Amino acid sequence: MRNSYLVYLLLAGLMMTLLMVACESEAEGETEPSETDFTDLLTNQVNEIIIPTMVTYQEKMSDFASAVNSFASSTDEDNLASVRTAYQEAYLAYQATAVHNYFATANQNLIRTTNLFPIDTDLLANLIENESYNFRTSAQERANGFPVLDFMLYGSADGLAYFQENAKRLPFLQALVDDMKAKSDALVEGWSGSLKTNFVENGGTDLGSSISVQLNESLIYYEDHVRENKVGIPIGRLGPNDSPIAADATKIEAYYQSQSEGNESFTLALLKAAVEEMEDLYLGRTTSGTDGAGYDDLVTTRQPSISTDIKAQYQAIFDEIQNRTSVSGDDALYEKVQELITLYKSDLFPILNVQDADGANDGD
Amino acid sequence: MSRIENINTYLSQPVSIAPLVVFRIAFGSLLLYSTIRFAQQGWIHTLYIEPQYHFGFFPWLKPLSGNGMYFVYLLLGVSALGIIIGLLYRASTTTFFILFTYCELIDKTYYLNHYYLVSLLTFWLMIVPAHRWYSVDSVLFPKLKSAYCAHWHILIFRVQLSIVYFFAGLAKVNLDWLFRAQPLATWLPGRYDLPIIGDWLHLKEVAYLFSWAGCLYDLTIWMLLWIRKTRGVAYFFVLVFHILTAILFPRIGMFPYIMITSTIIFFSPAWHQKVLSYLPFSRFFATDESLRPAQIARSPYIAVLLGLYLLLQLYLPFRYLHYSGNLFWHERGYRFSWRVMLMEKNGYTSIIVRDPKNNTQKEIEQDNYLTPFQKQQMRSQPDMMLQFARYVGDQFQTEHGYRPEVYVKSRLSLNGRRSQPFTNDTVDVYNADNPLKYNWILSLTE
Repeated sequence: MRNSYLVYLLLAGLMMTLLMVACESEAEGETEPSETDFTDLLTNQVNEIIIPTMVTYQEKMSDFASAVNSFASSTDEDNLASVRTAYQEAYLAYQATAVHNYFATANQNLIRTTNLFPIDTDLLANLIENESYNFRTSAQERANGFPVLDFMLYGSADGLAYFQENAKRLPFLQALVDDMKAKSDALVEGWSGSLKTNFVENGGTDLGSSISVQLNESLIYYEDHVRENKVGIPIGRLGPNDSPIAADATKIEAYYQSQSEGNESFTLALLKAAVEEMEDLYLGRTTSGTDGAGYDDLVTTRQPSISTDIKAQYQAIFDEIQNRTSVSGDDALYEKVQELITLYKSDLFPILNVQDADGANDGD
Repeated sequence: MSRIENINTYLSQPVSIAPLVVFRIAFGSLLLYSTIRFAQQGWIHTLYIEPQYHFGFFPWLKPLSGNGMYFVYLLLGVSALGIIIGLLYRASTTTFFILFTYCELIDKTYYLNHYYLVSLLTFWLMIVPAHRWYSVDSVLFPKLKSAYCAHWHILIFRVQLSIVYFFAGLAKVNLDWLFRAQPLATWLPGRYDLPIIGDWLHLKEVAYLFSWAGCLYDLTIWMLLWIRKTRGVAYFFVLVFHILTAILFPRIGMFPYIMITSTIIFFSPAWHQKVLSYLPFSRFFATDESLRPAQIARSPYIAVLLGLYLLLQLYLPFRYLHYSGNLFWHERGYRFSWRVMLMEKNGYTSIIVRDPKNNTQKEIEQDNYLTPFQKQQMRSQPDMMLQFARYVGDQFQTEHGYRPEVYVKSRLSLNGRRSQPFTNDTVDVYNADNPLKYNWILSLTE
């Protein structure tokens, strides 16, 4: 008797498991809305921040490509000046785009093909000389995107002569900009389709949820590219142990322009644009400047001091950028940029019930 | 003297071997499944081959080079199979125990309480004669065959599992767990998309309910499993509890299944005999029902040795009392104590190397040395911070010929508290007199 009783219990347990597993796979998307749905937040993110950001970048790249084409048909100082202006606007627009390095953006491998610096000038010279280039390969990572444009547009004492003295340079410029433009088109397309809907429906804060992916990936971008590439490496503050501890100003973003113009104001403007996009994401601030549903609203209702601290930290970074004429110098900029990462990881993630995506492995 | 004698008699009493045999088959199957799953997830590569640095429990213990680790896991799989079918049982269990424990000791990053449990259980499998019935060995070597084993061969597993539950429950008796419902209040809302219960998971009340129920469960379930009258109901709760945790926290991996499988050893011999009778070839073995109790080894040391093991098992979870401060914060004496799912600890830790000659300093880019998983585990564990700090310090010294200074700068949050500084970043841990005293770890201010 006892034994059959136990067998029944076992069966009951098994059936319950099956039931729950079955329900789990069925119930996607039909959960009742609750405060954990984050529909408002995600809708605002995708419609008012992410996609407009991509569209702006697409427009700027389109303008840039036209300017380059005019320059190709009539290679003069005026057209070079418009190319330079269009380049700067596109580069600034790119900064906001790169922060959203997840889903469609990550699929485009945007960052690694668009903004790895410093570039390898020998590699670039070879590519131009041999007239063989593929802007989508990792072999060309160090001669691609905006840092190459920075070199081509600002790297010579006489910008016009640089293109005139070697007929292979202009076609390279055109091909590069066309490819970047094609990628910006693909970005807008990638974000506009089903992804737009899926992004909003992929609620919750679990690993793989839109919120978890967005927070983790944007922070990884901020760590690796804002803190490290834009600040830490040029000032010699961060790097592997076996590399010399030394600042190297040639490693800053838009280095050739800073040399040509004798100041780092554009470099600092690029940095500021990247941090501003991070802040927009946090505040839910739309591209038109409206304060929509953002993480700050969630945090403020749960633990206001965290939001106060995060906002203050953004302000501290902007103040520091404002007060500087150069990325190099003391560690203050680095420290302030870094402190935001610490706040995100130690305070923001837990209050939002978001796990750090590092170490997605068994735990207990 | 006679009391020990009595205990020895009790421990050596011949009892039906069926529970042990069923345990061998069930647990062995789980070992085989885990090994295959581990390989399928690609973890052999990502955990043992990819990392260039390991937080070894012993500095000399390294993963094998080349395809060595694949071979280790192949052997683990083969020996798990040997355990299931009882083929070359002693060799299989010994191989599994040694290799599995070796793999776990390679890197603190991978430490899991249930891996530790697997090591302990396979250790005891290696000692007990679980292959004397319903096994290939008992066919190949008929002399081995016996329908009986000593009472302690089964008791040891029950006691071990009881220890796991009891200490897991005791560890939950703390302010964070019971009176703040942390870390469950942080984790549960993330599972809002589960059916039925999902909508309730963001409620504080639910976090409290789960916390108290979980604590009560761990503290009492093992007793209910021991008592014959309550065993059936207790096992029902074992199923409900562990399946629920598996659904709520997919990342705990094999743990629920290990407990669900292992606790069947509490069932009566009759139940296990019935299970065996359903298995293939059972009639072949059943013909030997009349087999008499085999010679049960009766060593006077058994009681003493088991007692010592028990003492060690009781001591380890309490060793944290040697250290002052909040255990969850400093984590000294945290491992090997059945503390599961007690902490949500987050933050950022940087290792800073300072060159005293050139008066320059640099934060180590951890990605150049550590995998994300290693980075994440080091972030909150002082012994790993120190280990890594020493490693980069040594590396600097080899490179430059003089000692650098190494600082650890860390800020963490624990169980829903605001973040606070974790280390005194003015202490040069590389040159400090006794960094193992961990006085460079700041205490938690509530």
